[in-house]
Amino acid sequence: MWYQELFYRLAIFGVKDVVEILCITNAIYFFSIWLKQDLQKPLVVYFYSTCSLVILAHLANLTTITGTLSMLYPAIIMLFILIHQKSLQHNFVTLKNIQPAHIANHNWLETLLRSCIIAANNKQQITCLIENQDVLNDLVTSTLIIKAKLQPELLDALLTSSSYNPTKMIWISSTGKLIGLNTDWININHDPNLDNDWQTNSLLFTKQTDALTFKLNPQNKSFDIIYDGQMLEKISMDHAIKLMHHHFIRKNINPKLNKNGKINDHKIQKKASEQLRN
Amino acid sequence: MIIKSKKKLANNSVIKAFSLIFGYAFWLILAKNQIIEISHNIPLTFYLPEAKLNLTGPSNITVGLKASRFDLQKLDLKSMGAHIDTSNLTKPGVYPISITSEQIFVPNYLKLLYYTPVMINIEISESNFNEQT
Repeated sequence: MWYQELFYRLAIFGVKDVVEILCITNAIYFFSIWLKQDLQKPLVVYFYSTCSLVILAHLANLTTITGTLSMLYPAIIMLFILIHQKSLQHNFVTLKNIQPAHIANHNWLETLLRSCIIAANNKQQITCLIENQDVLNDLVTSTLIIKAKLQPELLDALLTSSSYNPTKMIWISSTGKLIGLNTDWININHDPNLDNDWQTNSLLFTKQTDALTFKLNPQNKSFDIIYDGQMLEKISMDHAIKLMHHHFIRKNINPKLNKNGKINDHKIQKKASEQLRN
Repeated sequence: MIIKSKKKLANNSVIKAFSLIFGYAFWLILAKNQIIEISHNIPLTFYLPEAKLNLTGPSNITVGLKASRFDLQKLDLKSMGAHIDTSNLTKPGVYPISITSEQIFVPNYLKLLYYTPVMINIEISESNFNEQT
């Protein structure tokens, strides 16, 4: 019969072959329809050209080209998917660095000082590190990372908890976020027998960064404040509040400016921190 | 030129046609070296020298063949057949005949898996006409 002869010539010997052909045809059809939706580039033409190239190479018995194209074909398909207009639009949206809505905690300094005073009344020493624009992740170690909005109840609960070590620092950011507890500067002393001294390290690190650190003495309720590589001892509460307000508000007016009035450069900071370590 | 091609290809019918062509072509490229088995009816012929005798028997046998899809594609169906020499049967009657693989002619690149029936009965009768079945 003529159709049997035709199917033999087409190398189709059963229903299973027809099903396989229909599956591949459907896949190509729906992929072509999807490519057609790209209004910027004629991707369907490119796709059919690539298909034709593969088939012609096969018919011409160009084995090397056929083999190479067969190996590369998944990558070619992926390339079509990547350069498709919709994919590009999708990636543009998803790969964009989305900044979450920032809820400024304007009263964080008051909240901090209030908790510090309560702790001082309880004869508890408080040492605090306030991070500004310069990221201190490489310079400090913290045994308890919190990363929560600074709230009076939270801070009071943490300061009275057994997990808090009064000899270590409370790490806070100038955006009003409590980053961590029991924080210490990294030990840059090459001699392991030497203690990691708060004052020495603070003088050293604040010289290189825009961080501020203070210690509240419970006996006389005075502050020792270190910033910009200098130390102010026995500062009263009022002076301390004014100084910290000035320090952080001035920096935060133009966040791109560092303490020297220069544009913040994280590469330079990283280099400085590496120099400090060495 | 690309814009014209794009407009033509925007038609779904054209895309369907191209998809079918490419779908078949890719399937063939991928499947051409597959070893497959098929069954096919081939004509059964007899060699009968006596013209006055009439022979009655089956006209086809089914053979199972195994080869690559590429080899089966170029197979000429009309070239296959089974030939049984019945020249030694000179008297009328019913004769059981066993078919052997040597009597089945298939191209060398095909592997003969099976054939059925293995045994056939042929009936030889006298006839006034020169006819063979």
